[in-house]
Amino acid sequence: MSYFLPHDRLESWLDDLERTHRVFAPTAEGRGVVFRRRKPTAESPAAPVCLERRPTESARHVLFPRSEVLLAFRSAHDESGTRVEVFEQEAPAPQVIVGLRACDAKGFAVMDRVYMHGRYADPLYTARRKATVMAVLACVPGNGPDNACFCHWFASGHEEHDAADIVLTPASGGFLIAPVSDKGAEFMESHAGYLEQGNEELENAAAAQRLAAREFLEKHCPAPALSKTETAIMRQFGNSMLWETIGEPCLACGVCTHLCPSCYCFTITDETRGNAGARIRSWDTCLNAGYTLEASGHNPRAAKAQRLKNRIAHKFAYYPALHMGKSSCVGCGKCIRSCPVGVDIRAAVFRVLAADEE
Amino acid sequence: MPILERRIIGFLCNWCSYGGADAAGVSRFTQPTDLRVVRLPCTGRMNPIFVVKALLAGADGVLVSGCHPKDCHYSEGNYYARRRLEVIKRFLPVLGIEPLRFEYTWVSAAEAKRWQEVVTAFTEQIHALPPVPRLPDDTGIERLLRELENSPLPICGCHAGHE
Amino acid sequence: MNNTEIMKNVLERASVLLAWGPGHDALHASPLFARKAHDVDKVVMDVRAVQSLAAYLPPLFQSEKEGRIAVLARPCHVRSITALLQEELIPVERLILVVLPCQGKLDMAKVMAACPAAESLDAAFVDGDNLVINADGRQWLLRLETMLSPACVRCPMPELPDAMIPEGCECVRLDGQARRPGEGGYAALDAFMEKTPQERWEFWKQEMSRCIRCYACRNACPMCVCRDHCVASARDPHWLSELDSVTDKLLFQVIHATHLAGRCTGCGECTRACPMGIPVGLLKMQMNKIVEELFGYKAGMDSKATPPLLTFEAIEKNIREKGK
Repeated sequence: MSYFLPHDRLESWLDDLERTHRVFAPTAEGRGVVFRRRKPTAESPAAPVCLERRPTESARHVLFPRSEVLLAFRSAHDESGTRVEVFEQEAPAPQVIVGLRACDAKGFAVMDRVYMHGRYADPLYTARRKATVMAVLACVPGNGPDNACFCHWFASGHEEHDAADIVLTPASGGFLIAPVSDKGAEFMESHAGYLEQGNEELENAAAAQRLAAREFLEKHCPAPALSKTETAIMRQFGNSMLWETIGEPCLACGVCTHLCPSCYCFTITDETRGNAGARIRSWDTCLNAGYTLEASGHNPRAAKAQRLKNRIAHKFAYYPALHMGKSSCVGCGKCIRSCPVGVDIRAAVFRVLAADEE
Repeated sequence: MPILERRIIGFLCNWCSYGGADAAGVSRFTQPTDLRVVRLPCTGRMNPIFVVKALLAGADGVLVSGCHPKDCHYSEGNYYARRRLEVIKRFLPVLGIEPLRFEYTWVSAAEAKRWQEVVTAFTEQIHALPPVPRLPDDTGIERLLRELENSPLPICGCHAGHE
Repeated sequence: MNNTEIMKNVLERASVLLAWGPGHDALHASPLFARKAHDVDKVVMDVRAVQSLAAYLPPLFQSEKEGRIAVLARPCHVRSITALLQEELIPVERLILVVLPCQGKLDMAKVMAACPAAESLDAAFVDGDNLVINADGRQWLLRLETMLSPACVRCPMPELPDAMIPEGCECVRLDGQARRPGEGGYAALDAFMEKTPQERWEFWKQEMSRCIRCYACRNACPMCVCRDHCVASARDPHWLSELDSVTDKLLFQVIHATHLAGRCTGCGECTRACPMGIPVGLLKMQMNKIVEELFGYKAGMDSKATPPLLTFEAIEKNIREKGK
């Protein structure tokens, strides 16, 4: 079952989704394209959705906010005495993210393994994840892969749909919409009012477009033998000269981790004002010196080269070691595209592999 | 309901203006009650960011007062302060903040009368401006705490620090 | 000697030459730490070489394994280096300045807007006054003049005057043609200040709501020398809330601008580094304009000058005296 959404009905379809879901979609702002909650009202329509350009940031913050209040507390007193009151978050409302790319969606699959399984499942992430429908926009030539993309290294995306529920493929003046999960099929059944039926011809055209995008990538940036990277990184772990060379241009800012769809580290801070306060969870970045700073004042990763090593090793070695060989890098290229000094994580991996072969 | 009082933060040097304000009080000079005083060891301690932090956190005005030039207890503190404060005053317009929200001046410990004039004139200046514009902090602690304050149980949120 | 030979010659006297090399594709360059003569063959120093290398100097000079350090610098970068020398953050005797006449630096956003296909280009190079881009089986010719960063367009000093070579500093000049000088001044700021205060406030509210707090603006800034000890990351004093608050994001920009008062050389790295395209450099431009008006001072022009916020006059010429 597939559907066809003509371009001129895109905005009204999105507005229609608001009936049942909070809608998050990419919006062009300044030079960037960022995911914003659409809030159409009678007085002002929502800012137009921007699907023609790749988003600058990942949609990660929709499920895992940059900063969220885990709980708030205050001391309260009445005749019975003083006590501490604690306020927790309410259950999330149903939501849909429209127009994230397959790599962004795959980032959520990476996070699911960490935050939704085992003894330490994260209740807030899990609840939001379950309440969210992912409507992925497939990359096609002219609107998708660029020189920084390398999702084909990890099969992120073009025909595989980790974490995606629905796939929109640009095709003949609109989008072919195909559900790829049960959740997606159910969602589409209740939101097909604005849509036409898809047909085989459209489906074939869409599949050909997606294939063309993939072929571009394979030609532009051949994948290394990823099965070797995990052991190569661990073998080269103590090769400080190598990592210093890789890390030399790094400024140790956090652009890469903040735009990454699959970085999931956080820090916790209690902030108080008078008798009330909040426990805040906010994104942390392993490029920041404070990330590993110990209470004693010692910092095991004092140098930026050690921090960048952590980022690369986490993506390509520690995470795969814990999760059946799956890399936590999804190949979206956001870190490469936005790094102020052009640090290229692909080049770093190739360098480690080359050093390991010597 | 009209706003009767504005929030004005005063940063006063311990060695002069703080004494001047004290003397004005002891002399029973009538003063507006909008000013909340922070005592500094010297205006040289004045980080220009104090001014912006106060304004962004919701203060309607900021007044800094220290020793007259040549009279600094530490010889030079107010000379450095003069440069920094003049710079920050001229910087405010780029943010869209009215520069009249911030003044700095010099009042000695003996100038109780002058203190009365300064604080009265500055308070009038702030009252002539609309309340300070606020940024929409959907997740801001200010908003969170406002919500907590608005809930039925009384809380004392007026003092920063430990109680 | 051609430029490559000059650089190789310099590298014989230095443990490292900070330069630019190939980036992730033909349109981009990335900082290159040349340590061997053959590294110099990879150097890219045309309009694609956009980063200021000055930010690397203070930490690199602290490293014990480095001898003398040579750095490729455009005239605007020399100002940053001079400002670092003024504050004694780098040792002049261990520094070798390799100055190139400046053709300007590309503004990647302008290039992408003029030629969206450039993001998947096959080749890019400079040919005379044009940037040539081969992509999608086609060729684009973009006039260089129209593709430069705003800082370059107004830059009045594409060629470094001899008087600006820091005292006691070894300086080697490379051959090349500089672009014509811009008008200088603060046109972009003046245009912004034409807006009403309310509009300016709304502008920052909107722009800063996009900030992701990656602090690239700070880390790319050559004058942000606090590095791992920035007040923005400090928990005590806790100046900035960890909440996702527009107020605190804007406050950080004010902190950055005030820390740069009398120190910012206007290189434009903060704006360039911002992944969200927030024009944070406007705030520093305002600061520079104030410092110029009040103290007749521009940072990084004279290695012997004292920055104005680190000194005072008993009677200030341009500050009206209070309370007399």
